[in-house]
Amino acid sequence: MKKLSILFFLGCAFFWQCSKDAGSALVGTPSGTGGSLARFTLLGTYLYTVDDRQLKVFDVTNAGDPVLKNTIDVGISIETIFPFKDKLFIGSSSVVYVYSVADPAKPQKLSEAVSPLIRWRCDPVVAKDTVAFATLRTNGPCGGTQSILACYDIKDVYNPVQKGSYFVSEPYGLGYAGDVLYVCDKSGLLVFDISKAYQPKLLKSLSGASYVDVIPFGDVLICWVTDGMIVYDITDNQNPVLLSKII
Amino acid sequence: MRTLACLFLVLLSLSSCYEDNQDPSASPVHAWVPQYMPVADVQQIGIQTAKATQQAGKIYAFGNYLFQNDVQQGFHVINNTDKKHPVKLAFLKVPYSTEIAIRGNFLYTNNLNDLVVIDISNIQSPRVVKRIEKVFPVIDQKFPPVSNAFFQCPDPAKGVVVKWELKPVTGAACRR
Repeated sequence: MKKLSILFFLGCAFFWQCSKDAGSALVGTPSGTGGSLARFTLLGTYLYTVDDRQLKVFDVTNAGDPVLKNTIDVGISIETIFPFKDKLFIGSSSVVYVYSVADPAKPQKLSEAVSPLIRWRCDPVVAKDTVAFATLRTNGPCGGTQSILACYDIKDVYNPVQKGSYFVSEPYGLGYAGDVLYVCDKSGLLVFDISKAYQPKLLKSLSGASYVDVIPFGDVLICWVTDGMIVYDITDNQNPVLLSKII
Repeated sequence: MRTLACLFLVLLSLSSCYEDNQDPSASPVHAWVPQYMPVADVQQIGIQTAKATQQAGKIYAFGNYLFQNDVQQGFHVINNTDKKHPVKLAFLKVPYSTEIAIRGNFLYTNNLNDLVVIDISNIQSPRVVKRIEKVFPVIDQKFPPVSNAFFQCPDPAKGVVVKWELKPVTGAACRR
């Protein structure tokens, strides 16, 4: 009887342990999605943050109890972080840094991409397959003369090469859904066909608001505008249809 | 030679501008002044009724919910289940917040210089479950954002420095 109760106890403990592990590991825990101007991003079981100079790595395996694992000096005037596969694209006012997170707690710098056209700019960046898109804004505090949408070939991630560009007026955040790239610009929300990634083709411009950033999220496009949010249906990604404005 | 002597005198008079300590009774000079807030106020995180957006900040999507930062105030929480009729549910007050990420039931944000983790499993009653202090160098607690400047020496007893302001004051005894 004693043996049985011990077995029962062990069985219970084992079961409890298993369920506890399953709970704390939060396997498949859903994460949300931010825009291209974010300074916080989740990738796997890690939260990566950038401040003006540093990249910080927090282990969020236990989502309610993050642990600071690493602090990395990246550069100066860091503004944005964008995750793509096992890489982080970090935008600063002069450089796009690419870090590998093959070892998620220890990001390793792979490369720095500097636009041959513009040396000083503000540039959020997103990546798609073997291409990275960045808006290089030269207005206001960012200096320079001409803003562009830049397209980098990142097949060789150690050596990103700018292969295309498109002149825009005052760009901010950007994001893509399929072969369509949405770029926030002072003049409106620009909708580009990027089926030929290095020759972005402007399809249309939606005006009526000052667009700052976008999150393509399933069949909707969530836009940060200067007075709140605008949400579009992008079931047909080339033709965003207004769903709501949230102010 | 006389020119040199004059130059020396000019330099000497200039150098007096860079004394480390300023006479408190002197006339006002432009100096950096720390603006304080009690720690409890900075860390006062909680739920408020939904309100209009004042200064639209960063956006975030999580399932059927949308979040938008109101710069340095907190987050509008929006139920977007009915996509043509989104509903502002509440405002999550987080002083001096600008960033957001969500994993599972937990929202990560910056509360001035700290990372805070907020359990939002019940959005109407959020709970701060963890705070990692001073991981973001947003507002330096000891020095103004520039060097070679006079400033009022910060007094931690007065609270958290939430802002440095350049204004005419007397008695700016610190310099760096």
